[in-house]
Amino acid sequence: MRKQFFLIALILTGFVGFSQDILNDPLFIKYEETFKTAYNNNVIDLYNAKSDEYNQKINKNKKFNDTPDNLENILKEDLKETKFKTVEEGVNLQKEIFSLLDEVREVTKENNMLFIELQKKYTAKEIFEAYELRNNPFKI
Amino acid sequence: MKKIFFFTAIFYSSISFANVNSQLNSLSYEYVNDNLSDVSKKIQAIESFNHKLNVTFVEKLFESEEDMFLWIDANLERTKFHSLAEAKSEWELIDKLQEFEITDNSSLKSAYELMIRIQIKTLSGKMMISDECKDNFMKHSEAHSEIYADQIDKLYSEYRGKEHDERFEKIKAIIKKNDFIRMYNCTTYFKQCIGL
Repeated sequence: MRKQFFLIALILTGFVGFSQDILNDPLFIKYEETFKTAYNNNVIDLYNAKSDEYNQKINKNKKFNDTPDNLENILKEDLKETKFKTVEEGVNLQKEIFSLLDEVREVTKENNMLFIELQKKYTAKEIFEAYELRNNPFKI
Repeated sequence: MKKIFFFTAIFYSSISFANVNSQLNSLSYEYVNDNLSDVSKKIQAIESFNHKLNVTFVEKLFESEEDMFLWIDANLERTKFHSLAEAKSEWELIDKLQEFEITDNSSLKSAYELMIRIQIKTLSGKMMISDECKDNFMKHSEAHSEIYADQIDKLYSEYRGKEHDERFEKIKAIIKKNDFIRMYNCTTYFKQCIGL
């Protein structure tokens, strides 16, 4: 019985010890900071909101998920199948989404690079779980 | 009985599509049960699209549907599609995989991401992607999928039978946004690993 208890205690200590390792690692702390910076930048929200708006206005019809060059012609032909009032409205919204996507790449860049570095020392699961341990969304 | 059918179907799918399986396993039972009859059709649609796309990830990693269609349009002769319209039409079938999402607009469980993961898995035997890149990408994707699915499950369980309040929406938004950032972690790693 004592042996079992000792074994469980040893495993728990090892687990806590490992969690502390990653949580105290300066590289992880930097990752955590850049994650929060990316999170707090509203460009991701904007990108998702605009993408949702576009999808909703094209009634999720993939015909309208086309290249910028082709989209104008497709909209000219089938504008009635969408909720856009004009062709320009659709084209401009798509341009805005592409531009926001570039910004998303930019705001997540440093965090992504740190993830690549971190995963040389820890598994992705360990990195993601460590972040959640200190930034649990249920503890808001 | 429903559960047995569920597990049998999932097990059957897992023989050739371990990724789809891992995605489906993480979803809620009730939701998946309602949609099981369409699973094999959807998997076939992915297989067909994947075959016709005929592109290796050494050459190309698509970042969005638009990016993929742009590439198909410019490289139609390299694909096995007869036209961009055909590709789009087949993609619509695949898109129905989104019905498996617990919540709307999940970047994680979008048909597109499933497509990428399946493509990597099925094409890896024919192309020169290092096992390390592929395996790590799969592990990374599974890790963030798992966290997302667990948290969404936990949230919906916590609010079962209760009205969704402001706190519910706030937590859900955090879960989704965190997952979005992690997805970028995974795809950036993969792109860098294979030298894109």
